[in-house]
Amino acid sequence: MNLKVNKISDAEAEIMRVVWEHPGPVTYSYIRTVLTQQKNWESPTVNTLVKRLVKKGALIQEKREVYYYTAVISEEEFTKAKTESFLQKVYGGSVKGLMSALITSGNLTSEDLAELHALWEEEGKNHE
Amino acid sequence: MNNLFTLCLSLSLSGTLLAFALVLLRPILRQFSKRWNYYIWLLVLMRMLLPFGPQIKGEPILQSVGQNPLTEAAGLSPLKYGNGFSISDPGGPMSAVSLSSMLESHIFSAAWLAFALLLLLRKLYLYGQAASAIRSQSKEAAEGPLPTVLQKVKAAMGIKRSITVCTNSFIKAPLLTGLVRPTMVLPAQVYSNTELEYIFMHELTHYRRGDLFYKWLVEITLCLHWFNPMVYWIRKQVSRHCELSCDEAVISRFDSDRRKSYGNVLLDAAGSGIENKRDRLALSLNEDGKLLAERLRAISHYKQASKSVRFLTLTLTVVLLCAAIAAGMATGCSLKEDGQSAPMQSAAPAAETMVLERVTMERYEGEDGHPYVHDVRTNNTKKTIIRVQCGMLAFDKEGNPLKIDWRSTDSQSDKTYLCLSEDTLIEILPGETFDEFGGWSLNIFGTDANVAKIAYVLYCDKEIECKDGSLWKNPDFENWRTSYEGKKINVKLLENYYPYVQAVAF
Repeated sequence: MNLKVNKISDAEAEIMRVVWEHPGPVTYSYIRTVLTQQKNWESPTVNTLVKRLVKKGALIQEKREVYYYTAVISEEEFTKAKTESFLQKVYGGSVKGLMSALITSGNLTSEDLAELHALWEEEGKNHE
Repeated sequence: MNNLFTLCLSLSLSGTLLAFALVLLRPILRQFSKRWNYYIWLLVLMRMLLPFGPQIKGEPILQSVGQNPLTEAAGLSPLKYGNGFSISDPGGPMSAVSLSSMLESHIFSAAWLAFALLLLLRKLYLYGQAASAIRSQSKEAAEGPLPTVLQKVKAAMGIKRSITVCTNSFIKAPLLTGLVRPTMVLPAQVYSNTELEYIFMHELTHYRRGDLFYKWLVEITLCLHWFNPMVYWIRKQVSRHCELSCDEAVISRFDSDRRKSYGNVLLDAAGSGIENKRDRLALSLNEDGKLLAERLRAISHYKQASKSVRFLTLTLTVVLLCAAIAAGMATGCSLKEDGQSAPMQSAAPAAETMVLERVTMERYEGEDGHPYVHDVRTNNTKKTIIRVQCGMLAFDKEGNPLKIDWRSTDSQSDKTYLCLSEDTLIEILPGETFDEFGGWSLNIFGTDANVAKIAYVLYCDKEIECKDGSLWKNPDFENWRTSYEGKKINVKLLENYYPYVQAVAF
């Protein structure tokens, strides 16, 4: 997708959350009401954030009698993309070795794990 | 700039030789502690980063100044730094070689350095990205079991620095990050106190040993030696031994039960980070799996090194240290001083020169014949020379300087060591060797006893003027003067003074 998940700030993610939690397209005033109540945000702040999200392509703006907003991606997709981007940055390869991790488990599969468990059991038996 | 790249090549070569030695010794090194195996790579890294070792006067075993088998293979010619090194005219046949080789080495050095810096910057940027990504998802654990156990382990290990501990729902395994503000980051899950203890012991051992700094040293070496495939392998070895030696340090005082616990903690940590990809085609463990397997095996096989092994360790360390120095000497890794050759020789490899072929004492025939100094010159420039201003010094057969009545003024007070002569009745064509009968007349009146003692006369041009008006002033003239004027000179030097080659640039 064209949408760069990384470019969505934490504040903007709050807007997205309101849209995700609401079934169907939401109006601007709904978004504003929720956030000014829950988070004490100012109206112009909400305005700016919504505009930015539309510009970034995260929200689709639909003009009916007022503006309605729909999220382009679902919450699951968003989280998944964020996770992937995080893992890429931290375990991507170039800098993997520069953090002292307890184990380097980036690419282990459950089969690998089973094999390692078996190995460990073997070793345990041999040293009894 | 010229020598930097060739120096880097030398360093890379000698480091690689040392690394090969370590590979060959593997069966023996396996018996040594993991800690030794971890730190020995420092020797290789130092060899690759620092030009240490005894300086060699003259030529090292394999090469001459600024050149080694690698640079020869790369087609770079040696560059000597002499006085009065001139920029040659790209037109001539011989000068083309020196210009292009000079350019080449400049280009190589610049390209290598630029790329190295680029790699380093990229690495720093990516590291910053990773660190900030981790930070943004980490929540500090200010209370609860995490900070409590951390304090306990810190106290037991004698660590006073304050270290923050956070949980993070995105990372796969516990890690320690931050060179300036060390932070312990754990995946967000429930841990038993024992698990926490082992995790913290492991990570704090990394912290206490400064492993992050060691790792950055490897990365910097990698940036500088980006062209050397061996360095990438070395990084892998260091990283591997880093973990193995850390485990070793943690379990060194554990009994077999605790060691078993520790291994279980590692396995559990691996378990929480797995991906459930069933489409991988590999039939055996990948890199990460292999390392974990090796670590588990090492944990269960752990035993203290015996006395004989410890003695062997010490001996081998000393041997390798000597090998490091020897490897450096063989590939010419020391920063060399300028050679100890005769001070004023401006020996540029093929440039425009004025060569004083020889200077001899002669005597005109006949009753009135008086001595004169005869010089032979070759004009290796492309211009016609019409005036030469030249300094002359005389020495007796023992090398003592002589004060001479150079201008035949027949006055005692006019005797000097140095005579500055000027010849304007000449026209020396390019390439011509000027050997006309006659020369500088001395002591026409025959009253200077010193003249008879003259065994050697040294010439050095001060200024040369050409037909088209271009002028060369010898930047070395004063140097020559202070070196020779009024000084006793080694006879060998006097005998081998000619041909005296002067690099000339108009």
